[in-house]
Amino acid sequence: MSQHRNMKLHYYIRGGILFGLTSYIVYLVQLDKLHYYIVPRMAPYMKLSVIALYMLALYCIYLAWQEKGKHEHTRESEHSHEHQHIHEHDDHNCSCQHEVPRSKTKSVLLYSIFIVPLLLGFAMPDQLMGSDIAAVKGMNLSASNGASLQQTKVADLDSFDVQVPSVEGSLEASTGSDPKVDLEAENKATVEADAKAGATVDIEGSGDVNQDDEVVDQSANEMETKNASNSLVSSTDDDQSFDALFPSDQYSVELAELGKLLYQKDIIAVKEEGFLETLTSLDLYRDNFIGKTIRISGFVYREDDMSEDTFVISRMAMQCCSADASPYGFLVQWDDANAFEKDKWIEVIGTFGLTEYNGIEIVQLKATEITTIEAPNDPYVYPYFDDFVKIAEE
Amino acid sequence: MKTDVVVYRRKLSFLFIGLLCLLFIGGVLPRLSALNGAELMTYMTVFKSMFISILLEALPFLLLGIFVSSIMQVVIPEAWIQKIIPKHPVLGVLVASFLGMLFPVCECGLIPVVRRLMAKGMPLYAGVTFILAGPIVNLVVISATFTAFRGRNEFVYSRVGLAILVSCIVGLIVYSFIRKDPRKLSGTNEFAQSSVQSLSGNNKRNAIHQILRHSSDEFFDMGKYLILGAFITGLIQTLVPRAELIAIGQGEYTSHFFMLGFAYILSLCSTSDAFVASSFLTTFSASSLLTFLVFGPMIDFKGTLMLCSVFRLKFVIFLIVAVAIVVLGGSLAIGAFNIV
Repeated sequence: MSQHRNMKLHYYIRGGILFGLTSYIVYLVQLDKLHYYIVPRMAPYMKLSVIALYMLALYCIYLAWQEKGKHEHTRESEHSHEHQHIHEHDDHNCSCQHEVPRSKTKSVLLYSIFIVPLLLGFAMPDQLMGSDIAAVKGMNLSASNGASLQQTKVADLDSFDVQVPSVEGSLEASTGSDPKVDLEAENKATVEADAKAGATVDIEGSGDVNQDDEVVDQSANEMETKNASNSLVSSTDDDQSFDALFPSDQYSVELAELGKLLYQKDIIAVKEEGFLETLTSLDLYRDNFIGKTIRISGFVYREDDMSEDTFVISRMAMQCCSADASPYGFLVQWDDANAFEKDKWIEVIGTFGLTEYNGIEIVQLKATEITTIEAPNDPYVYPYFDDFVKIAEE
Repeated sequence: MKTDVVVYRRKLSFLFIGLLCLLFIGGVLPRLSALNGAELMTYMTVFKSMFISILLEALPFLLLGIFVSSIMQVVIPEAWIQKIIPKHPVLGVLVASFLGMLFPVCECGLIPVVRRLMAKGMPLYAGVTFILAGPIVNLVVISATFTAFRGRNEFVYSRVGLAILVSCIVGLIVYSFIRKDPRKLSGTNEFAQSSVQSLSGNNKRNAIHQILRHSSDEFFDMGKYLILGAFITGLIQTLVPRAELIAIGQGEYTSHFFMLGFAYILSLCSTSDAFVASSFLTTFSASSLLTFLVFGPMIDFKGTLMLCSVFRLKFVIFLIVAVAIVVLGGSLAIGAFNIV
């Protein structure tokens, strides 16, 4: 008899959990937050799952009721139904792997496993993935080669030289208030490796030499671009020299085509559709785009070792669910960068340039205009499945 | 007698899960205790994002899997399965490795189905081959891989080829070395009986009842492994910065070993892991990415827990080791011949 009551309780709990899961997904859909967790193209499947879960929940409740009915029945005419009961239970155990847990502790354990996600889901605020997650995943500042900040930092560890405390000291002196030169192992490695390479590599602009370098770089690059555009103007019919600016192998043909189209625009807008592909194309043919005006929106992200006039404008790229999301972005230079807190949504219009960060050359936008914007309803970007050329169409 | 053994085994697997939890708590707590309230909150929200998203992503596939498995239980006769899988083991594993084409889901959906198929008389080696190959050798995953590696079709061919090769080899290893039934409960007889019963009491209402009951039972049975897997995967993803990990794993041979471990702890769905892999194209050797692409869908953290719902722990460990060795060998060979 107690077994029956147990079964009844089990079915009620199962029904409750299934209802809970159903209502959690409905709740996410209602609040339009499902895309916080999974890509929009999965949404139809989620809705089907809701129907399935709901059906199972109803069935469990039905079973619980059945159990009750049987129970009363048994009391009335225990004997005549005994056989049927045995039959019932055989039937239930047919798949053997899933009879209900035998002991109370096991039941509690089993069901609490299912309650954990429900509790987490309802009790904790749903948060858009932003800087915090970007920090865990590692910001990608160079879309075309996938090198991330941490990566280069630790990669520098390979050339780590242990005998450098003196160099480190002198470096510290020379860079003065440079916040980057703190003594944490990681950063130390960067600075030391940099020192070894014989070049002060930072984008802070605290070292004048550095700034000069950048300026020189910039002007050289500008000249290059001018030459390039001159040649473009002088021989518009000569596609070959233009094509030569966008060399491609069989793997990057589409990116090259996209790059050519982007190149012809006055202002290159990095849109949400094809965000990653645009970034990759810009990054792959970065030398061509120097001096061009870029418009891009995203959230503000900062690493601890970034200087006061630098931050990253970034978007989270999601393939399937937030577990596989990665942040991509460009470095932005703006004198009053601190005015923008992390995770603030902004639109940047700026000039495309190059700089060095932790020893690798990456793209940097020199901002000319920054506006604060509302976070978009769906802030993530997704892989572009269509022809890349369509990204550049307005 | 039999139940004693069963209880003992269950205790073992609970012990295993408990140990895993302890291990993680031991590794995680020191890190957590060094945090203040705000940081802890940050970690919690990051963890929630990861955990819930892995669960939600897997849920439709799991439900599909349990419904298909329950329908099979009631509808498909045993003879049918024995007809499909050839008697000869080599032919058997070959056919099994292509079965994924019929049933395009990742392992969350596949495991309940294969469990049912084996209970219905599919030979163990064929079932193992199907579980391993299914998440890769299916059209959804193949087309996702094409998209992720635009223009590098050799990745797709070698991924699928290696997956078939590995699953067949492991299937044959199982055929030649595993004599004892490694399934958790050998319920074949009772199974057969029950389906006879269901056929004799054959009205449609009965069938629907059975399907629903099996589905709800199976949901709770498989669901617990999925949730545990998602929970631990979420913890790892939150507390181990991916970029730091990646930096460790460079180098010609180390990258292969690294990719094994990386695929294991990330527990990505086979439909999306190609995109993640393609973002490493320039930082890792192509053949080590192949290791990632083939090993990950076959064996990962989430999958290990789900495999534990079918097989005894010892056999699961045996499988993991066998697959790891064969995948490593295969992708190193492919790398050596410069195929990718």
